[in-house]
Amino acid sequence: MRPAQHQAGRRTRWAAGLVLVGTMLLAGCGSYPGVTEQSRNAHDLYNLMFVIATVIFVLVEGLIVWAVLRYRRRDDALPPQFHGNNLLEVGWTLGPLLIVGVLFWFSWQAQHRVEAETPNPDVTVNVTGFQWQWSFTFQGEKVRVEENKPPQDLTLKGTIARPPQIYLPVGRSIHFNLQSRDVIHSFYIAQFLFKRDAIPGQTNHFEVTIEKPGTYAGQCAEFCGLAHNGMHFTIKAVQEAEYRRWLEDRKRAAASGCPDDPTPGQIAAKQVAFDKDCLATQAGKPFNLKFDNEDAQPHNVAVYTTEAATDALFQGETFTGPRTVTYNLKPMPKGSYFFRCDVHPSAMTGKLVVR
Amino acid sequence: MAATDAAVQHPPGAGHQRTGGISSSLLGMVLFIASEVMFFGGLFGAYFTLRTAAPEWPPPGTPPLEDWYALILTAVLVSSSVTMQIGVFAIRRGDQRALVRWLLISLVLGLLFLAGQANEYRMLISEGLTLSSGVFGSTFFTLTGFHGAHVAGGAAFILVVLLRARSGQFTSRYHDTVEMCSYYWHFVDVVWLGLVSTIYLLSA
Amino acid sequence: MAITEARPSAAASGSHQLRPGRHPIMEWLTTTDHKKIGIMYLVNSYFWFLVAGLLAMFMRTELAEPGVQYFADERFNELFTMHGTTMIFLFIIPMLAGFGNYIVPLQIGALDMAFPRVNALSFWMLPLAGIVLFSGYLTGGAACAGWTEYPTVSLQACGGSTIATDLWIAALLLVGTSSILGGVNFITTIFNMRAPGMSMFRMPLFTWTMLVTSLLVLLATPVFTSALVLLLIDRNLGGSFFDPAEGGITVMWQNIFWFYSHPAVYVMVLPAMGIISDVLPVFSRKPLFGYKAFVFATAGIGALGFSVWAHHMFATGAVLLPFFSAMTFLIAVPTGVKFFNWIATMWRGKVQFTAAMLFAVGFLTMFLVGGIDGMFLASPVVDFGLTDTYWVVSHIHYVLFGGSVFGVYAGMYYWFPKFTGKRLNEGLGKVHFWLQMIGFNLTFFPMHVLGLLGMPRRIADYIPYDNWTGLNQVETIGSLLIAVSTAPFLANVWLTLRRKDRDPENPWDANSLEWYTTSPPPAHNFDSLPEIRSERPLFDAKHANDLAVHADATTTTETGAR
Repeated sequence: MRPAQHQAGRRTRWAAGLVLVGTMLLAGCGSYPGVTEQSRNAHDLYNLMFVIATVIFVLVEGLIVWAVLRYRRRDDALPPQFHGNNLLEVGWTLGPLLIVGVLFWFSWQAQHRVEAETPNPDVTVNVTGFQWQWSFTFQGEKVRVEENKPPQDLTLKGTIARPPQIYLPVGRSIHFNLQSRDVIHSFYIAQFLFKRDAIPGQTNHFEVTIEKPGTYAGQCAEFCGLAHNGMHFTIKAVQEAEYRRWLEDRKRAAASGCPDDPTPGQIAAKQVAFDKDCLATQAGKPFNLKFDNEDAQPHNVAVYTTEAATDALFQGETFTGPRTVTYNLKPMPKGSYFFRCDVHPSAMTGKLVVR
Repeated sequence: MAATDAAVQHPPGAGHQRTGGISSSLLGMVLFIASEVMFFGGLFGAYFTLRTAAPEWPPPGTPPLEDWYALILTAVLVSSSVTMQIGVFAIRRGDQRALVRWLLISLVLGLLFLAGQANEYRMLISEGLTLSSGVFGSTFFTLTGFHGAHVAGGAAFILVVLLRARSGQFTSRYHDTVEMCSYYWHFVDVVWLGLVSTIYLLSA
Repeated sequence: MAITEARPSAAASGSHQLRPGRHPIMEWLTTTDHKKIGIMYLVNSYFWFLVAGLLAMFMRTELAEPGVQYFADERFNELFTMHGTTMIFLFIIPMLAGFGNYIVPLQIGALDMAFPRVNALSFWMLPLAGIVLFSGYLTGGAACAGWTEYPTVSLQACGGSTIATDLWIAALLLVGTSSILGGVNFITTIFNMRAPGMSMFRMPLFTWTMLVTSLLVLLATPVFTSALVLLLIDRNLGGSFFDPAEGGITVMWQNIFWFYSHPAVYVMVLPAMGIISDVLPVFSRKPLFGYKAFVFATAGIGALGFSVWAHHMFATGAVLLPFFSAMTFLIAVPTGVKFFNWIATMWRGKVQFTAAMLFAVGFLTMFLVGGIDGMFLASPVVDFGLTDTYWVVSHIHYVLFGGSVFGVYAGMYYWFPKFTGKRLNEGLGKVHFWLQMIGFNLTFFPMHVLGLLGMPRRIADYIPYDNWTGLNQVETIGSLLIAVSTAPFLANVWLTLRRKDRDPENPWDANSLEWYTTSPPPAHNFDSLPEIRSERPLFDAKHANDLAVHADATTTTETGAR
């Protein structure tokens, strides 16, 4: 009997060791430490829960493994037939109750700090999710986009082909307002240890203060339809001075009407999105637009006077890709126009600037 | 279903039907009604959520609902519930002819209610209130529509019970189906009272 | 005792349902016998399990390599939508209901379910629902907005098909109606059809869990039905419940949906817990430790299940965080009680490693992980980071695969001799268990890490960040192993059914009432019933003269584990 027991004991220790190594592995690959002031709360809480979870895991798995190995059937004698033990049962009701009580308390405290908002944040960014990208509006950063209209807040809109990169200052309180134009999206930056949904008909908000400079990838986290996985964006956290420089640079580009178009006279459609949201041409000259439809879906480019899309200036032939067609647009007077794909009027839109 | 119930009540061989308490068919009906209550609970939940969130209720431009009309419909449906219960009392005494009579009256009242509701729908639709005319129309027609469908279902149930009662299938001891029918009919009545008080009377 | 006597032939059992001259196929198609219906539930559900598993294999293939598209985005979206919907509504829920159908009347000593014809109706809606659901593929594409079908994405047309989502709704209305009718049937059966002496607190735990499950189904499913109806109206009749452009409220769907779908998680897990609670004592040769605590814990989980739905919505910004967080943490308490009671059941017992017991212990070890990683999500602060990432995918699979599926297999190996009179092969069963155990952990454990690294769920492709690729490849290999592990099981069933010799009527020396009758039981279930004085009537009968054991068995609580 003894050697068998000894062997069982060794096996138990071996199994328990394995379990321990497994949890340590998880700890090693643990979460990002978090780069915002708020995310430190989440990280600390995660670590606290991880320690408690590891203890519970090792204890309970250990008990299970011990029980099945130590009490393996070796003969057919009937074991003692006990039905319960009130004291023990009360004990293992109160024990977990105490643990979750403590966890809830810490979680509640952390939640106050994560949800806290300052009355006058240093930067306010209004984020709008749409199928399938984001647009970022920097509140109060005025820029005159069209000559005879009042200045607007600087807005940067991404496309799937060119996801937006947004600069933000470190050490400043940044307030985000989240909205959606069509379906639910979720604004998620892994290294903020945070996400919040952008819901149509509802404005959500949260505040962060980024502590560590760096480049942080963001992505939509709530399934939002066909090109859900294309809703990438990048946050670049920099010092205040660099942020200001970037902002002025963007404003200059925006004021020009159509910022940096590396491939003028061309536009492409891929995954139900245009590769650019802005086209530029010169007034009084015919405009030859090369449209490359890379989708196995019908698209076109149509130009309207306004976003209401009531008066069409030009409606390009709708065709299914992959194929390239060159549209010939008549000369247009100076101004700002609206273009879209008539097949996907909400997903594929942009601005045509005639200088 | 009824034949099945009979089989359960009188199982061949060694049966274990519990003595005393509620019969299986009645218990089944009560449970089914509980699930129906939760179904309407979901619809009412949606109604109150939308109503609370709306800036103005009813939304501007909604044709007014006629409270007096709803109260007449209520009177019709409640009295049908009463006549139904009188029928149940009758069969508990074993009076088959009275059962047939009262079931018939309940059925007529139920159909009258449905006709009244159809007429109200007709008037509201002509005034521009439809299922697709906004939140108010959507909730109004969905809630009253599903209630109406339940009334229609209940009326069909009454009709079946009525036909079986006419051929004398119920006695003072065996009339679970009549009781089931009455439970369901009362439930439909209670849902209507909820609807009237929220959609009509509390709409101002 | 009746169980050792010669098996009565089917004809001799004198069932009123057996009509001579009827073709066996017609006999099955028209049966109202709870045992035949139960078998049909199990076979049908397992078929959909294989279908949904195949969809999962497609997904894992797609995700093995970033940048490579075996499936277009819209096909991938259909894959995870159909996988989730099929697994939950056509496999787990009906599979457990199938065990309930076969076993519950036997465990309480009843002749059949309370409403046999309604029972048949409940069953036949399920294959119909499956056909309706998958017929979406004939219309150009299946439903594609995830099994949660959040508006307003679910108000839009789906890939190539405008009606795929309507077919999804129709299928779920069928499944829901089937569940509700089943729930009415189970509750009535358990309340009204128990054998003399079978008081509520003498019922086996599986029957108890089916009772609580049925109550959850009865109260939660109709609420889901109402949401489905509203979605249908919004999609087809111009309703404006969920579209804010018309005055509707988008998150309202989530509130109604999770009011059902959170209790539905317990619908999918409680019966599996019940199976485990029946299997563990048998193979430990001891009574269940803390029977009443189990019952109250089950009821507690059921009741708390109705007050935690919004923990799925912490990131919506439309939730009272502390309340739902607290209630969610609280659910850990009754679950913890169950765990310790299960361990105490094995403690100082005689543990025998049959395949059924392996799967039961597998349930304990794996469901524990699902409980612990779920605890992290109970805290809104941690949840903000982890929700909608692969952490959640991992959590749901540790609960529904590590929990429910392991429980289903435990029940399969345990009750197979009851269904057929023949035990499944133990060796193949063990191969099945270990392959599945390894494959399961390889597939789903790395998902925790992926979640922490920020990989969102439901994406058809990913940028090769950090070490996402390596982890995804490990998962794909693991999923292949899970697929392979079903082969020994299917072979086992095939070989066992072909085997000529029979096993003893009660091969496990089990003590609950279903083992008192023959295996398989006659159409009317029981020729006689024993006296029922505890939850282990067969044990009492065997040890009726063994005063020492009997005294020990009835003086319950004093002798605890040392």
